Amino acid sequence: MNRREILQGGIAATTLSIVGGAGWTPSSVSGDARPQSLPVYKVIFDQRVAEAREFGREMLQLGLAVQPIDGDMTNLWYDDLYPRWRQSPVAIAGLTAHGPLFCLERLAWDFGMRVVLRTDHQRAAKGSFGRALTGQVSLLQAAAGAGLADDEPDALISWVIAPVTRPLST
Amino acid sequence: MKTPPGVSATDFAAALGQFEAAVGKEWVFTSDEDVALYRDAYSPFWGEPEERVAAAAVAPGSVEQVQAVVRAANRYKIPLYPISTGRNLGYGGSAPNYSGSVVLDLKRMNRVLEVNERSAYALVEPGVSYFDLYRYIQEQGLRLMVDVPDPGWGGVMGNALDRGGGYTTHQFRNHFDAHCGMEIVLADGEILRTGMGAMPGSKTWQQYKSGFGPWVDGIFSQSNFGVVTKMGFWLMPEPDAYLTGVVLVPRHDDLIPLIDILNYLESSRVCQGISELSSPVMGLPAADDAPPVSPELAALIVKAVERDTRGLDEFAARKGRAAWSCTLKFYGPAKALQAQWEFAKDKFAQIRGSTFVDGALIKLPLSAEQKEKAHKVEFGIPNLSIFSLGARNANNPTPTNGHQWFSPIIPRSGEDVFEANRVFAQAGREYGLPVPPFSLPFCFWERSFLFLFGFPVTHDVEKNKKTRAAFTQLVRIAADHGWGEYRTAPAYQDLIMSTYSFNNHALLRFLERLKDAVDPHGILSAGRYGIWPKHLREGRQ
Repeated sequence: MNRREILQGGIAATTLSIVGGAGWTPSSVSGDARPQSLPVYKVIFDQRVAEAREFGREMLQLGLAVQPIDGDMTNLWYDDLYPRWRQSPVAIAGLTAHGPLFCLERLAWDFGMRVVLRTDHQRAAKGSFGRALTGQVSLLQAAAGAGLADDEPDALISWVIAPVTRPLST
Repeated sequence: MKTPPGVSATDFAAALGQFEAAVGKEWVFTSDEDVALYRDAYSPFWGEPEERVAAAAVAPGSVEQVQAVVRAANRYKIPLYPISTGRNLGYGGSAPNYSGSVVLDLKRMNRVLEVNERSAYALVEPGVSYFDLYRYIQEQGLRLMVDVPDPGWGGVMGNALDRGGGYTTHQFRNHFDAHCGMEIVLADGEILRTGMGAMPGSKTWQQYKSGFGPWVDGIFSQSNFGVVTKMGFWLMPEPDAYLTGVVLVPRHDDLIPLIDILNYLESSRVCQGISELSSPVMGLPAADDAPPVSPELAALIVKAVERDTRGLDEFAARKGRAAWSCTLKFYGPAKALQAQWEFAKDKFAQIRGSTFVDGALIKLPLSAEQKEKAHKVEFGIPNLSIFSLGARNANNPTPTNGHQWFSPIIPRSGEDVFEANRVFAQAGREYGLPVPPFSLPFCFWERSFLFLFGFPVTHDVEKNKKTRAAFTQLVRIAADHGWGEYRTAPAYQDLIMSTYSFNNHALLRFLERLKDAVDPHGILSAGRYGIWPKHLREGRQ
């Protein structure tokens, strides 16, 4: 998989999520939790990686608010997401390494949000990337139609975090 | 839905109903999807039958709700596992020691109850994170500094109760030592306050630590005798300035006087920050992208570990590299810091060939630009930048899911650093353990050194098995030499408690007697730090 393909994969995953709206079930909460249909607040990309920078430019051209990070998402969290999510949880998307997503996912849990779509892009030999996609079956099928393969694990990850409504326990 | 071991489905359902009545239906979590969020992301047993997992979770929003939950749990003998924010990754996270426990998630109790600038203290609830407390202080414009761990997203209270540490001065970076006063809900639902808080209407709960009579606070850390619901902390008044200075010494054995002088300076409070040892000649600590050690140097390090240091000293001299360097850190009045550093230089000058590098004096408060460039934790700024490390690179081709830390405490002397390295290197050779060629000690704690070996945690069952075996072996070898762990993940807590075995495990037996007395049904954090309630002890020893 070449740079162009990973870029296309990231964009496809993210925009699918943005236009998909209600009816997703996140891969990590595949039961009855239902994501709410909300616009994506910010698209985050890791500016250390060429593919992610290109992804950011493409998302900007699509008219989305983008936010570069250099691998460290602390300022994004402290200055932007925390105050915003305190008002009300809103969806975010991104193309980053594992670390920032790991943090954002866990911080988002406290605001009733989950990773609802995730595509892992593995750096294979000679710097190219492969992909593994996780998410709801219907979304995976849609993603396959958009050219997303599901054959290999990660180095970069395209993802969407969105609010979900949780059914009560009993 | 999983049911706690030994609890009938009927009783569990009844207990959950009472939890819901106490906290509201939306704050009781029983679906697999919700409960999965409480898995330990760094579990050494990830995906194996032995992985410790919760049956459910309940999130009270007040002390009264904690009391109600605890009373209901007692009624039905439901094991509870209190967490503050559950982010002590590498030490268990939010997963219980005892599979099938109900996580008592205290994240909703996240109020900063008081920050007193004049007396420099804070009183917080369990769900207050370092980010929360820092934000509160910044928004209020208070000239106080919070000592934060790395990463800084965990709970102030939880980190202290786990006996975690930070990066500023002696008095504050041992987070449990920096606490002053607790409120605890006991296993029967009764509320206890410690220190001066035991006096109704006390004016000094966060100002005088020990109160009157036995000081019991310690038994609520790394333990399972109660649910701490409030905790006070002394905070550092923002200092006038910060200064660093580096001393370099030429020979391997210079580590011995270097550490002796460092000990004197730290114990005398001449330098207060967390000193950092490094070895320019050995290239330690090594950066992720550092070039590989040459075969010549690798062989010389092996010899030096075996106490033949001539080759390494000659190599250092030839390359113009110091054997050791130590960075000292000073907090206080600018004028005093310069004098303290000069005093330190005079002391280190006793080591023949020592040289010095003066660091820049930084006046506080930091500007926004300085904050961005600073080593944030040294200025009490919480951050998550550690998660941006560990990216794939030449020296780290397969980044892992985190680390578990083998962390023995060893004496603060050069001789003991050499001896520990010799012992661990030998163990590495004999048993094929992943021991680095030479390990530098850390100065987190006063009067002792901390060794830290990070073992990767993966989602590969076979790799994790090997790691656990190596970890276990190192714990035993360390204990045989009198070096004990200060903290560990639940998977190793029984093992490490078993090494604190003086007089036929008198300490553990005493803790078990306490446990049986204050929590007779054993509902709180069964197994935490090796303390199991009576009904779960049989067959374990």
